[in-house]
Amino acid sequence: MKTKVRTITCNNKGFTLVELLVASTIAILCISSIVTMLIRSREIETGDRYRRYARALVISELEDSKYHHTQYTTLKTSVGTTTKNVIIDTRGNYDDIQGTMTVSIGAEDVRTSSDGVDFNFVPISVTISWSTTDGNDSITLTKTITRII
Amino acid sequence: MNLSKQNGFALVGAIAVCSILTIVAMGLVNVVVNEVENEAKSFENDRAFLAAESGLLFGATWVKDPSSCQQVKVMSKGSIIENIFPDLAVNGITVQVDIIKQDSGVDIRSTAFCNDELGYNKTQVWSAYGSASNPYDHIFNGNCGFVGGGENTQIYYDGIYNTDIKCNGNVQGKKEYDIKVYGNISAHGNVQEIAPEEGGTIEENAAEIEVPEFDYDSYFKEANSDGIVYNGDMDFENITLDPDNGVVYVKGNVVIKGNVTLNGCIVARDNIKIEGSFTQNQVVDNMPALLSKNGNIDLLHQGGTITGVISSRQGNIMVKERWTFQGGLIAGENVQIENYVELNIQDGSPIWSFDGGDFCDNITFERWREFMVAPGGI
Repeated sequence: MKTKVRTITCNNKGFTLVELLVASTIAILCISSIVTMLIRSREIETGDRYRRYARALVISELEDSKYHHTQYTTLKTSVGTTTKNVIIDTRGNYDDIQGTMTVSIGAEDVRTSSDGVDFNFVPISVTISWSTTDGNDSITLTKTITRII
Repeated sequence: MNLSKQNGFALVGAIAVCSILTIVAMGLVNVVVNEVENEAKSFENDRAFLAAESGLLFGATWVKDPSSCQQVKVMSKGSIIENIFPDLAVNGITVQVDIIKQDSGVDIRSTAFCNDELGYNKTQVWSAYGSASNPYDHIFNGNCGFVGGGENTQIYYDGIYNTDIKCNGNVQGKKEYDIKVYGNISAHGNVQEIAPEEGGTIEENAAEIEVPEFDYDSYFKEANSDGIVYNGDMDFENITLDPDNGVVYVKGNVVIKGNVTLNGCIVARDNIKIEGSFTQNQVVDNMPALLSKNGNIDLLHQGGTITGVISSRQGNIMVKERWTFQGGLIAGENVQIENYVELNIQDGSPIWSFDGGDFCDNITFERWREFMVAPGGI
């Protein structure tokens, strides 16, 4: 019995201090990198989610009936910019991500067809901009409206 | 061999752990990069979608323009006018608008091209298809046509035919009756016991004729907008049918009893049977009188005058009593006339026209936003 205990003790010499320090340093570096990457990944994912929500709001606004081609006469006399607040993401009582939607109705313009006829149109741009702790962001989409006689 | 007994195991172990962690980290990086790429592509899709939609409006406006419409009107089916707005760009994306002539009206194709913003040489495409239809484009000229159709034509009693008789089977008359044909007679089969008056010709073993098809969907749309639509079998009895645009569409069989007056035409999915007194007035030039999409047309009661083509595209036409037709009798199968009938067509030539109606005044865009095609869809 004594002999067996002695053998186990002799084979279990353990790591040297240098080995432990090197291993610990590498492990700390790796883990901190991964944690940083996870945090950054989450930030990017959150930013992308806000952009998706913002795009949906922009598309929804552009599809509104007031920008239908039947409203052309009204639109062409409504040149200017309007602004309103929108909620991009609902997170809680005071943590909603809020943004600003800007709708710009441009001046009537002309495109000429291949057979030389001028056709008028009105450009409409919708921009949503917002701020988070990670910085500012915005998206802009444009469509044009012509009048079908 | 027990590795833990070897010197340097800690280093090997650390490298192994580091490798695993590196692979995990690279996977995460890949996920994040893909996410960023997908977001960028989604944004590009939205830009292209709106650009294509804008181009569609340009195309529709172009088609409705009087001068453009005249160009479209004379195009043959399938011909394309490409890129009618060469300088068109929306959202910074080039848009190509093409006009494609169809049987009735046109298709408008608006395609937005763009490269994504990540430097990949891949094209995002959104195509918007619109459809401008002209429901009267398919309607026969009411004063043209012929007697006959896809199979046999049989005429058993007296009659005056100021038109041609032609069919893909046999033309059969009865020589003991006074059947006057002031046009030509031609049959893919034989011509028996009937002959044209002086100046007319008989042709046997003639080339097969193409029995014209009507655009029943257009008639349904017309009936649905300003006409009358019945969603099942209908017995009309002692009634005046007076739709605003002259089109009555019945999704089933039609039986006419008693005294019925029709101002326009009846288009039925199945059979049309006239058992009573029937008065019909053509209210729109070039409009047909009676159309059966899948069934037969039987005129059993003694009648008056019907103005416009009578067509049973898939079935038979039977006329049993006296009628006067200002138009053709055209069946996909047999035409059988059993009593005195007069067809008053000034021109004996067997012609029909698909150019009836005014193309430009009747263009509608009611279904034009149903055809958006996603990237990769064309």
